[in-house]
Formats: sequence, C-alpha cells, structure tokens
Amino acid sequence: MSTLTEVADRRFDVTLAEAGQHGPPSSRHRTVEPQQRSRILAKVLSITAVVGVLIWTVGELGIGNRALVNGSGFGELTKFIRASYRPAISIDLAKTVFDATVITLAYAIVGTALSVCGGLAFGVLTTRARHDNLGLSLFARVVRVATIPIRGTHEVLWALLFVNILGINPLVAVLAIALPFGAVSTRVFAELFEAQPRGPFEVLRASGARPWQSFFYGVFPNAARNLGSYAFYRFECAIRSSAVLGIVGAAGLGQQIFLSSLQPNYREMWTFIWPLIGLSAAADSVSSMVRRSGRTNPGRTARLIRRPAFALAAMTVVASMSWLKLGISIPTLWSKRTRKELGFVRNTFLPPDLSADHLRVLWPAARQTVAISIGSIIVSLVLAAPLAFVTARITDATRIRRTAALVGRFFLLIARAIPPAVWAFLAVLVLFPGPLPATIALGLYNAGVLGRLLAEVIENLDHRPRRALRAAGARSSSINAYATLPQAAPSFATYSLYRWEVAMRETIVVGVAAAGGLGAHIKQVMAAFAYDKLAGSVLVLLTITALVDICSTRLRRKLLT
Amino acid sequence: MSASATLSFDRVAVRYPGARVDAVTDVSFDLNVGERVGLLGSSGSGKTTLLNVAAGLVVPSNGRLLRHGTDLRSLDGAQRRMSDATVGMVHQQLNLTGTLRVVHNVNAGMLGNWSAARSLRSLWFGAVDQDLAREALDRLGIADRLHARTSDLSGGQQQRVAVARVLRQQPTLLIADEPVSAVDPAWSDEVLSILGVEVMQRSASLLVSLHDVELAFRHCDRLIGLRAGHVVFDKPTGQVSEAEIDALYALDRAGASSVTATR
Repeated sequence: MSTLTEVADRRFDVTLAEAGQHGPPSSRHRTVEPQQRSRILAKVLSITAVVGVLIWTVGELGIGNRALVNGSGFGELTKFIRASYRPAISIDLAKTVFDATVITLAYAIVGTALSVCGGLAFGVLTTRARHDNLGLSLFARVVRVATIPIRGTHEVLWALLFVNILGINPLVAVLAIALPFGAVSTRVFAELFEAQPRGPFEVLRASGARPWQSFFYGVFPNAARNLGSYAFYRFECAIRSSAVLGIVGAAGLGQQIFLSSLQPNYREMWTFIWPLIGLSAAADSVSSMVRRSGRTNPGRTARLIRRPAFALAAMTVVASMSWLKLGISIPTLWSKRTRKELGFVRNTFLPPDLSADHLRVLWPAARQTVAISIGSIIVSLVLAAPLAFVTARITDATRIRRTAALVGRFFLLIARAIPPAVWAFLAVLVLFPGPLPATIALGLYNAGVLGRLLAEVIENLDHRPRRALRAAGARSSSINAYATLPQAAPSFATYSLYRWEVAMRETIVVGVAAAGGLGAHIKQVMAAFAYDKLAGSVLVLLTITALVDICSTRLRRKLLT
Repeated sequence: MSASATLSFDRVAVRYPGARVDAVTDVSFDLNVGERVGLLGSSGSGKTTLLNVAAGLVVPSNGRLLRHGTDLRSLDGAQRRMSDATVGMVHQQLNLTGTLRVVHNVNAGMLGNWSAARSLRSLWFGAVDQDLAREALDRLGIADRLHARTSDLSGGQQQRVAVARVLRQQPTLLIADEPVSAVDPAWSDEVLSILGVEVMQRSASLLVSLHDVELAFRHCDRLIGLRAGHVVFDKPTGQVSEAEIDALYALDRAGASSVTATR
C-alpha cells in the first residue's frame, strides 16, 4: 500500500516542480510554442483514447443491443433485501454459523501466515535493496519471473487445480490462498525494501559492513512497519478469499451462503452473510489501526501492536491453533493417491487446448472479460470518488459532515464485505445473465475497496493549501476544487489503475456467477470435464491478465513522469 | 608519498559519468597520523568528491588512493572490508535508521568487524556491548537515550547519535563532510572538538570539509584550499594568510559580479 502512497507523494512533488517552472505568460501576443502544441496534441489524443475505450467497453458489454433488465426479478431483490434484517435464527444454525466462521477465519489465518512468511523470505532474497547499486541477482530474476503466473492465477483456479489433485482436503484452500498471496507479497516486500532511503545502507557499507548486514541494520527496520500493515491488508483479503473458495467446496461461511442460495433461502443466506460482514469489518478496523499506529501519538493498543515481538508471538500462536483446527496433514502432499491424481491431472490438463476452434470461442470471451474489468472499474470510480471526499477523516468536519461520513463509510464497508460472487448473485436477480451483471457486481465490490483507498489518499494530502483557502474564506466546494482535487487526482488515477489489475483477476469469479466473459466459458468446460480446454482457457486468461498488468504499469509510469 | 601516512592521494582525478570536466584534478597530499586537515573551498570546488574518494565511495578515474600505503584497488573483498572498517564518516545527512533503537544505530558502526551471528543476535535478541555504546553516547552527553527510538529524538540528539556511531567504530581515519548544523552553531565547535580529542587520544587522523573558515582555523592543524577541483594551497594553519583565503573565494565573487554587470 505504502509504495503506492509513496508513488503518489512523488507525483505530488513533480506537480509542484512543474508549477514552479511555468510562470505567468510574459507577453499577451504569445505564439503557440511547439512544446505547448505537443502538449495540446497529447491531451487530445489521450481524451480520444479514453472515449474510444469507453465506447468499446459499452459495446462489448452488450448495452443497448438487447434486453438487460429482468423486470420480474425486482420482487426477488426486494425479498432478499427484506430478509437482511430478519436472518434465520435457530440453535442448530447458530452452531453451524459459529463453526463456519471459525473455519473461514482459520483458512484466512493459515493462508496469510504461510504467504507472509514465504513472501518475507523470498522478498529479502530477491530485493534489489540488498545490493550495491540496486543490482538484481540471477536467482532474483528467476523468482521474479516465476511469481508472475503464480500471482496472476486467481485463488479459485488454484483451488480447482488442487481439488483435482488432493480431493476434498483442507490443504486445498490453504494452498489456494498461500500461493498467489505469497507471490504477491514477495513482489511487494521486495519493492518496499527498495522504496526505503539508501543513505543508511551506503553509510554502513562504507564503514565496512557486508551488504546484508547493512540491509538488516539500515533498510529492514525502516520497512518493518510497512511490512506489518501490508501483512494485515493481506489478511483482510484472505478472509474474503477464504469465503469465495466456498464455491469450490471449501468449508466455511462462503460455502454456507452458496448452499443457501441454491434453494434459495434468503433469510438463511443472511444468517451467514452478516457474520462475514462482521469478520471483514473487524479485520478492516484492526488493519487501519495498524496503519495509523505509525503516526505520532499512537494509542496504547496501537503501541502494543507495533511491538514486533508481540506481533510475532500472537501470529505464531493463532496460526498454529488454526492449523490444528483445520486438521491439515502435510504428508498428504506426497501420498500415493496424490501422485496418482497428479498423473491423472497431467494427462487430462496437458496439452492445453489452444486449437483454432477453441481460440475462436475464447477470443470473444476474452474481449468480454477485458470489457468487464474496465467497466467495473468505471462503476467503482464513479461511486468511490465522491464517497472518498465524504468519508475522509478531516479535522475541520462539521456535525452534518461527520454523520454523512459515517453513513458513507458503512456503505463502503458493506460493499467490500460482501464477496463479489454474492453481488453477482444479486445482480442476476434483476439483470439477465451476461457481462453487465458481472460488471456491476465487480464494480460495487471494488467501489468498497477503492473508496477506502481514496479516502486515505485525501487524509494523507498536504493540508496546508486547504487551511490557507479556508482561512481566506473559501467555501468547501471551492476548497475541494482548488486544493484537494488537484493534489489527489494523480493518486486517484494510480489507485484506479492498480485496482483495474486486481479487478481483472476477479472477473473469473463474477464471470462464473453471472455468466459473462471467460468465467462463463470456464464454467461450461468444467461442467463438461474438458480439462484440456480448461487449461487452454486459463492460459488465455493469464495472458490477458499479464497484458492488462503491463498496460496498467505503463500508464502508471506515464502518470509519474 | 610516505608508507606511514594514514591516507595518500596520488595524482587523483575524478570525472563523473557524463561530465565534461573533472570534478577534481591532479590532487596529491598525505594525511599523517595525528593530523587534522581541513578542506576549504566554495560550493562545487570538489570538497565532497575528495571526501568520498577518501571514504572509498568514489573510485578515482585517474591516480591512486593509498590507505596506509596500500592501493584500495589491490584489496580483495574481505581485506577491503577490514580497511573500510577503519574509516568512519560523519555525514551532513545523518543516515540513521529511524525505527531502530539508539543502541543499534551506535552499534552499527561495528558491523564491519562483527560476524553474521553477532550482528543479527544483537539486533533481534538484545543488543550486545551495551556498555561500549553507552560510553560513546556518554561522551556526547546523551547516555540516557540508549534505548530510545532514534526517530523520537530531536534533531540535535540525532546528530549526536551519528557521531557516537563513528566513535564506537574507533576508526583510524575520521572523515566529516560539513559537520555544521544549521540548527545549532555551537554544535559545530563541539563536534569538531570531540573528533579532535579522538584524533589525539587514539592516534587517528581527521579529514574535514568546512564552509566556515573560522572553524577551520580553530580546529585544524593544516588547511587545503580547493578551487575548481585544483589544490591551490596546502600548508599548516598558521601559515595560511588572509590574502590566500580571500583569493580562494574571490574568483567566485568576481565571477558573480561580472554576471550581474552584463544584465
């Protein structure tokens, strides 16, 4: 997270520098200089590109081509919403809810613990920050390339693969979370180390310390708090993932919601959705408390949390308890049965079906998937940007604003606490199945995440311009327009692009649930047990995920220069 | 060029990549045991470059740098580390690790001599050699802050920690790049005195760059004047005349006034 904040900060510096360079026009009869002309041209080109992408997305999503709204579904939606304040309650259910909550939490904890430990080890081993001149070893290069497909593959797909090899086994969900999360953490941790100031490292090197000594004394301690808050952020994500894996058969709240939705029993669905929202909310608030603990004057709890010994001990105890609760058995990994199933998977998944016939089916599905990801991020941004202004914690808030902020924060929390699959279930109640409900479901979920990120951007801005304008008697709207928005806009764009990458991975889940894009196709080939086609589809999905990553990285870099 | 010198510059020139002129040209001088040498010159005259060469951070593009008569380039990794461990540098930017406790930042001066196990044990399972760290801090008057988080200290206290780190290292060559504080002018005198005592007591040597000529006269045995990368004088402090100092900075003043005149 904080790498992004730093990126945003740097961008802000650049903006200031530019502002300093371009003074007021010196003469009234100014000719348009070539530099200025190219800037206008660049602006026109980028606006054209954005409009073009919008038109393409709308077309791909099928808006305007066919009936989209299923009028008869509104009754069902009303029933579902009504059920929210009357969840089914009974002694039996209470026990199921408790067990499911514990299991969901246990998967999240073990998955996070493994991924953070792995990410830390590989992050330290592969970071440039351990070398003079920020060099990259051969080993680091190999690991960096290897993490790309591992983190590009969604947890649900990993779970599908492991279910085929290990059968119904708690290891399936644990590995499905730990592998992609571990790969992401490796990358993020390595970059966090690289984002620290180089001075301490260089000074220690000059006084004769070895590179890794200089790293552990001069770089690691500075990054430690960011590592901690990122680990907590991963834990938040793991809770959501652990629930999503219910689709693939992992026990827990997600599975219970899924089972109740098959009947469908709305009141029972809510019996399980509420605890999930509760879990998310708890992780959310602990996570933001951890992040706030870095500021000056932390509270007593925050001070306790930021003690590394306490954090490590707590993590070890909780992770081992969860491990025992889940009954994970490592030897399963090399049992005879596993080897046999692995051979079966090898024979049925390989070679992936990339025949011309299959590609002809995959091409439109792939285009639709990209359109879903773009569309969803537009939906998120439209919802999240205004809400971010409302919910940001600012010091000079009036009582009305504080109330509005509370309501807005609750909406954002609900939006991200409900898994995308459940949003998709709701969307197909009132919309005909297809890419549009998938887009809206993903957009709503992402709005919850993006809204919080953007609010934090606003909270971390330089407040002096705001205060200066307020002191000069400007009204709130003009303060936002003159002080907050210009500072925040680059970070908003950066975060949206970053969430676009994440949304691209999530299209698989909403696609399965709402029948759009590659997700829908993957669901079909799975139902037909066509594993070579499944492997082919996953390869295509990985390819476009990688393309989206490259695109987003390029655009973000462009925003920075 | 004497083999007993702590440090010898032998016709050293440095040209940075992409630059069209040398940052320093044809610099030769010895720094002897027990000597305190001050580098004078205006901004851009090459003071920092020379200090970085002395610290081994910048490799001369021409000429040689000898530490105790040995060319740095002839040393292998382990020998080079041992040599580096005898050089302590006080930077203008303090380059402390803010999240570490003070004791670790002070002990970090010893990393060049410490084994792998010792450095990590100290960091994660309780600091070793706390007495020595406290002693170093005591000389700077902040022994009570041994276990404070470095970032919780005031700016002046952090400067002291950075100096304590160098004292803890017990180097034979002390290098200081403009150890002059904008916050506290008295601090400049204090740190130069402490470093001077260290040089006397432990037969070390001091190479320091200074903007403030007064400070240089008070704390150095010998002064080297630099202008545009060239050594213009190199003599005992008592023999440096006011005229020479004026000449050192005068060219720039003349240059500046000629620019104003053409406007």
